[in-house]
Amino acid sequence: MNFREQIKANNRKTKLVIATFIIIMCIVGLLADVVINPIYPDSLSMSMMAFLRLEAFPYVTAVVTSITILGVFIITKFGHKLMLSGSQYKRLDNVDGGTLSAEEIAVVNMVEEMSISAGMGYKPKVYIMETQEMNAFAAGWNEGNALVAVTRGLMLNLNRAEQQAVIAHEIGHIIHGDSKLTLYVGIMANVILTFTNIFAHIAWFIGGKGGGSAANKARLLIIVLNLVLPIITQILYLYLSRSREYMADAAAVKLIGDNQAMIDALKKISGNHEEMKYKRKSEGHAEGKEPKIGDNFRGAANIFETGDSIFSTHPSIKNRIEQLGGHIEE
Amino acid sequence: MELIVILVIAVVLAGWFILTYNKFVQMIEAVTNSEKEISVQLDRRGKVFDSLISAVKKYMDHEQGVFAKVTELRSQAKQGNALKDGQAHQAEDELSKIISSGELTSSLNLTMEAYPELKANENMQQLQEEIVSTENKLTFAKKAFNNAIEAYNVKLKSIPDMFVPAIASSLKKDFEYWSLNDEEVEQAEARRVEF
Repeated sequence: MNFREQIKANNRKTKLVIATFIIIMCIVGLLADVVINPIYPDSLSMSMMAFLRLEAFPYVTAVVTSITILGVFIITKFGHKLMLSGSQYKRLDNVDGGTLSAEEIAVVNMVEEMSISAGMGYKPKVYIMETQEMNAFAAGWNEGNALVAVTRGLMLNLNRAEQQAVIAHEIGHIIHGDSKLTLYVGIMANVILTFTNIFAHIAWFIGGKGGGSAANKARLLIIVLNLVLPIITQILYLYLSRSREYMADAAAVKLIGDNQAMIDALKKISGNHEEMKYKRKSEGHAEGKEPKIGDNFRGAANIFETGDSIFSTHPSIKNRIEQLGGHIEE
Repeated sequence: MELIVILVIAVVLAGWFILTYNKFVQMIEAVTNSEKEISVQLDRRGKVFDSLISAVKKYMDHEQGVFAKVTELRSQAKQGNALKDGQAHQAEDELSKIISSGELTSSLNLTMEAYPELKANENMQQLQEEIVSTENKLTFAKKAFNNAIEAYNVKLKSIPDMFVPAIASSLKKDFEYWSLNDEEVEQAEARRVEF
């Protein structure tokens, strides 16, 4: 599969996930509507269909979807300013009077090169993060809020071509609007979970007061959904995140025109990650409390994170390298 | 009822037409803009290289001057010492013996040859990075241009988007990909790195 098909296929997956979220949202809303107003008291499915045909106005569904649309609108309209501050981060572009090392100048150059290759028309802000761990992340989707950050470990340990590939991957996240997508999905998931939770509590406490079998079934379903939806939305979100990673890898190949640098970079980064894990362990840090890079950002915006299962933000390095047309020895 | 259905279909079609039209306009502008980016980068390359190379050259000349001056001054100083005091010559001989015997070599060298800090090497490295980056920027600008044309051409030729330019002919453009012509390709093929 070449990078064009790769991007297309993962775009389809994104649409599928978004559609699933919308369907879940409508189902929850309609169930609540049935509890309040069972049009056909004996049949749940007929009642729900009746709401869809607008035989009665589905108030709850309307409110839930409007709140989501409002949230999405606010995010799109006002966005949020992403800035990295603190001693951990150093802004590399736009330094007033400060001096940059040769490597730092190269990083700024590479970000500019990639933004030219992507035809973005603007340069994202560039940051360096003071840690020996090798990683990078991106956030934002427009001139005002886009940024790319690389760690010092990454900068010093990868050669120029490999750094270029990593930066291209991060630029890929920016041009695909992955931060925005994450925010949207976050809004949808939160609206769904919050409302399901409220409905479930109401259904639990005022349960069984008439309304026929349709309303009772709807109540029961809401209570069950309240238990399973947190897991389902999480799995969907992570599935989305992993497919966006493949897309960013594909974008890196498109922007640079070479897959080998990306493969080499991934191999080096995963090697470094194992090493750091070992180091932390031997230094006596608790396993579960690994400090994560860019904690304020979605994990998926990083170049690397351990992963392999349906519970990870990133695909495994092996899968990623294979998608890039490379091969890794076990 | 039928009227409503027809109306809905008409609105959807009109909406699709407008969105696709705008998308075409956007893509054409993207091609034009990335074409301009190539000339911007070409211009930048010329200017950056000229000014950087002359700056580095100037610095190298300056440092060469420093080197020559240091050597000259040292030999003068030696001569002066020898003329004033015959013993100085003798002492220097002994010093040479110590140095050539291998003892103390490193420490003596260090104190005797404390040159001013030289920066030409660093400058050359910076120049190298600037050359790589500038050439990359030019290459990626060409790549972006070709990518923009590709995206436009794909849209122009796919169904159902192709119906929009069929109606609005101003959207039909014949862009040419950036590439070397046959002669240049042959020349570039024949080029080898020689030291």
